[in-house]
Amino acid sequence: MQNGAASLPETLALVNACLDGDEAAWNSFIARYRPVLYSAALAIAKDGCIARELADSLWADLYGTRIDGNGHRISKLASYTGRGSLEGWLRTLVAQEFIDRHRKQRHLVPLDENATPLIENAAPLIDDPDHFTEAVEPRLNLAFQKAIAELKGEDRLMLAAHYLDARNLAEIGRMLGRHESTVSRRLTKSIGVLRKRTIHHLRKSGMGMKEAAELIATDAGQIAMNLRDRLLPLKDAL
Amino acid sequence: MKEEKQMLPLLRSHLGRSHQAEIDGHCDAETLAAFAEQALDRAVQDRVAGHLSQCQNCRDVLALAAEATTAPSHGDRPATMRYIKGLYAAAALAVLCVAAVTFQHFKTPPPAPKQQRQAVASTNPPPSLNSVPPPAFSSRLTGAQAIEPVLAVPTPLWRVNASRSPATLEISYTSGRTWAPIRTPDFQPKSVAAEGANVWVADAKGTVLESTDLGLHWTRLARTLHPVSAR
Repeated sequence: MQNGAASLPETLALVNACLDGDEAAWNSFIARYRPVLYSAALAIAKDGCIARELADSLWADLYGTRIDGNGHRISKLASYTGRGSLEGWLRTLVAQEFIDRHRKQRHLVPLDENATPLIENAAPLIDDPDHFTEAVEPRLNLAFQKAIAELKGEDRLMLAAHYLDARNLAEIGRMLGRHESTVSRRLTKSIGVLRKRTIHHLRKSGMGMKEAAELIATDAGQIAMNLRDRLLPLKDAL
Repeated sequence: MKEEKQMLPLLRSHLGRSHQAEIDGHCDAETLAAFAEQALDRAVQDRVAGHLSQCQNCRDVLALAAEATTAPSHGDRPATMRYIKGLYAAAALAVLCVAAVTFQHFKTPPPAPKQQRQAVASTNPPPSLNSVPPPAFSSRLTGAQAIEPVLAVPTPLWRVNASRSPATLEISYTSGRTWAPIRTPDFQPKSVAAEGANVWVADAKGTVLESTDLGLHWTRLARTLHPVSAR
C-alpha cells in the first residue's frame, strides 16, 4: 500500500527511535515523511498559506514541544501503533486537524455563513425531520429500521456517503478503497435489499404484499425516523 | 431507477437524522487510516464502517484523507484484479507447458542404453540432421556404443558404429532416434566418451583424441593407453 515505503517493523523502529529522542532517526523521519505531511496539507487545504500553517502545527505536535515529568518530549507520534501505514496516518491527522480547525472557526463566523458545507461537494443539511408527523405508519418505520440494521456496515456507510453527503461514486470509492463500479453495484444492491427486507418485515407484521409495496411507494417521503435510534448501537467504543 | 426513487425519501429521512446524531466519540486517526487501507480485522472493519455511517465528522475526515492520497492505491482494485488475472493466466500457461513437456517426454522413446566406449576420431564438424542414416540402418547396428553426455543443450549422444567399415563415430541430437556420422579418415574409432561439449575418442592402439567443441576440432592426447578390445 505504501509507495515503496519501509516495512512496518522498520517504520515502528523509526518511530520508537524518534520518541527516544534519537536525532538521526528524526532526520530520517523528516526526510521521509515531511513531504508526505506537507503535500497532504496542500491537497486538503487547497491554499498554500493555510496548508503551511496546518502542516507546521502538526509537525510541531509530532516532534513534541512539551516535556513530561521524565524529561521526554510529548509527541503525537506516540499514538501511532502501526495498524495502518504511517503515510496514511499522517494524511488522516492532517484531515482531522483541518476539520477541527474549521469547526472551531465556524463558531466565530456569522450564522448565515455557518451553514456553508464543510466540503465542497457535501450535501446540504437535510431539513429538520421533526416536522414530519409521528403518525406515519409506525410499522414502516420499524420495518425500515430493521432492514437498515441488517445491512453490512460498509453498505450503510456507502448509503450515507452517497445519499446524505452527496458524494459521487469515485469519492466513495477512494474513501473505502473500492472501485467506483463496485460502489455503484453495491449501492444498487443495497437499495434493492432494503426494499425487499422492508417489505418482508412489513409482511411479517401482518401487512399484505401489495399494501406493503404501496406503503413504501407513497408514504416513504413522509416518514420521520431517527437513524440514531434505528441503527444498532456500537457496543464497543472505538 | 424506480426502486431508488421510491427508497430515496426514506433513506434521506433516516440518514438525515444521523447527520445530526450525537456520536459518542470519534475514530482516531490511526483507525481511520487503517480502515481506508483495509488493514483492520473484518469484524473491526465492519464496526468502524457502522460508526462511519452514523458519524459525519469521521466520514469527512476519511474523505479528506482519501483526497490527500496522491498515489492511486486506494482505487486500485482493477489493477489488483488485472494482476490476479495475470497470475491465473501465468499459472494456466505453466500447467500447459508442463503438460506439453510431459506429453513429449512420454511420446519420445528412451535413449539407447549405455554401452561400452569405443574409440574413434574425426576432424569433421558436427553433422547436420539431414545427413543422418535412416532409423532402419541404426537399428541394425551391432556393437554400437552410445554415451549420454552430462551437459550440452540439446544433449547429444555419441557412439561408435562398428557395423560400418571403417567404424564411424556418430552423434545423435534426437535422444538416439537418429544418428549422424562424423567421418574420421585416418582414425579407427574404438570407443568414445563425452561430457558436455568435450569428447574423447580412442582407437585400438590406445591413441586418444580430444575435442572440446562437439567434434569440430580434435587434439591428440596420448599414445600410452592400453589397447582396447571390442567386447
